[in-house]
Amino acid sequence: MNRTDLGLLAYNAILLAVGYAALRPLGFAARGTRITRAGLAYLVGFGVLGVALTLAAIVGISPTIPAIVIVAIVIIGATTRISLRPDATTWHATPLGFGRYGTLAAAIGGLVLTVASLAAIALAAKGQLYPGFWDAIDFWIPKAQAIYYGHGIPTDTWAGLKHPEYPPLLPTLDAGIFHFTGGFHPSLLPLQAVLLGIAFLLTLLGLLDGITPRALSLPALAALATTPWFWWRLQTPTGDQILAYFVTGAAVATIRWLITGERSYFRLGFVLLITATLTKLEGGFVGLLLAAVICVAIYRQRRSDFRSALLLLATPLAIVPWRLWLAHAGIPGSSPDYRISYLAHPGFLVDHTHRFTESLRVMLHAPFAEYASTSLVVVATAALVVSAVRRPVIAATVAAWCALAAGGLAAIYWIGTLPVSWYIENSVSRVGATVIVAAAALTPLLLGLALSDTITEDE
Amino acid sequence: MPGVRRLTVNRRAVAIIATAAVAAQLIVAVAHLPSLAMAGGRAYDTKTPAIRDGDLDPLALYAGTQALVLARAAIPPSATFAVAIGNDPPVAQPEVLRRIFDFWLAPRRDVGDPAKADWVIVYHRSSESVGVPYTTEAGLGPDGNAIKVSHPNTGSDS
Repeated sequence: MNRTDLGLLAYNAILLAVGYAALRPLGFAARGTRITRAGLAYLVGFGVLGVALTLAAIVGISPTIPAIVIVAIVIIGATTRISLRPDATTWHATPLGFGRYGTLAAAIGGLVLTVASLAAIALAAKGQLYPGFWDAIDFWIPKAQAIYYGHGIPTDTWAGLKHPEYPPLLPTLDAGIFHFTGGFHPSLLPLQAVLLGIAFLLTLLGLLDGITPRALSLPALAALATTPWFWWRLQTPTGDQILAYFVTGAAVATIRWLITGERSYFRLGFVLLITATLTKLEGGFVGLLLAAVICVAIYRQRRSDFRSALLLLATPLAIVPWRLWLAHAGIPGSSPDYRISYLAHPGFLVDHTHRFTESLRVMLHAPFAEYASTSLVVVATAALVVSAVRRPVIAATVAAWCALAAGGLAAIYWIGTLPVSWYIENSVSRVGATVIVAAAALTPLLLGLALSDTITEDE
Repeated sequence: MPGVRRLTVNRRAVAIIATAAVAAQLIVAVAHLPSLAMAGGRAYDTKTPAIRDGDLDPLALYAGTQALVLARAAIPPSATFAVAIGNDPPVAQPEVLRRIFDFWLAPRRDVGDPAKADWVIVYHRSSESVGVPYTTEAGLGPDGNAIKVSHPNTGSDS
């Protein structure tokens, strides 16, 4: 085992240690199976350590080995002192008896998921696909490089890179990997990306358990994991796929909180939304929409939790320190590709209506270009319809959020300064993928809910 | 009974739809699995490259890797550079090539203009054709040279 392997091992051990420590105050220390808890710990560790290191980088602390170790120790120490009221109850849906066929479906789904994950690891271990998406070498990895060589976020270099307005969570963590492994080694990043992707899938499995029988959840996750664009993007060290993980995780957690009222899921959703906000600008935007629909649904369904739901609306504020840094550095805080203020100019909007309709048309048609995505969307739609009959508020919440997120992205293309064809060619499939991943992950939750005759509170 | 919600809609219809959904998901997943497994299997059978080769090899699609390695060795980390690309032979995507040098040579900074750079990477053209005075010429293999620019106004080489 060489320095690189040891460094990678140590870095991942720290992510896991932070994640496991954070599970206790979140209320997940004893939830789920050992394997789903490991996935959740990795995802949460990435999020919590990422947010802490990003804030540290903003105030000038470079993600060196000592800094990461100290930050990790502080987080672990803090989690032992945080005392939040645990859930007094655990909710269980009464699963439909699928019998032998259910066991078989779960077994096939689990097998497919395992093989797809191992194949992704085997490919990532060679590291050859790190430039698979041009954005990786155009700005995501160069930003990590800049932080690594600049011992922090170097203003001049940062300003010269594409999309300097994007928050630096992913580049900061990647710079940490370079420190741990003793040099700028971009070929190590695909393995990290795949580990996070597998952790995400395990997290979903854990979040669905209790409401969705594994006869439903494992086939659904297997279908998502083997969808070609999702599987190949597991390898890419760019923010888009990682944004999809955190937004989707937050959506499943908060919808589950909406269903059962278990506070652990609210806390988890809160943490994942903050991470999404600091991963990419769209994270704050899509997260705000999610928080808004959850607030409306909670107000309608369980008013006693409305004040908690309002807290979700605050998660996009996590971007404020980064915006202050940008202002201090004299770097524009928004993309030059669009002006949000154009949304308030009816004349501009009317003149550019074709951009909105064309974007929406492409976004609605894009999933049907290949049959794997088509099946995800068709099954998700069917799940929405059947759950709408039995749990209309939940189904309406999911449908409203997906529609608002897709419509919001189309609105960005509407006010964009680049030709709409550019967005269609370069942006829709990456950014729009978040909505499809989230819909695919919510599908088994909706089906499980629709199938449950009773949802029982176990004292 | 507190904590229990009774739902009344026919569960059988939902079960049929759920079963169809599971079947569709499994068919699609199983159909895609062989190609993904083969990609993983092929990678597993491939020898793992040394870390530096692993970093560099994927860039061969865009630029001569020998030129990248030798340019990094020739140009000091604190120096600035520019990339001058010629047509002998033509380069398919000059802007992409420039970005690859930027990527690989960081923290060395690309200043764009050869006259303002400490070093110029001369790619598929002759060093003389760049039009800047230089003191040192380092070979970058078959693709070109790196030249150290002489800056007479400042009285220094770089």
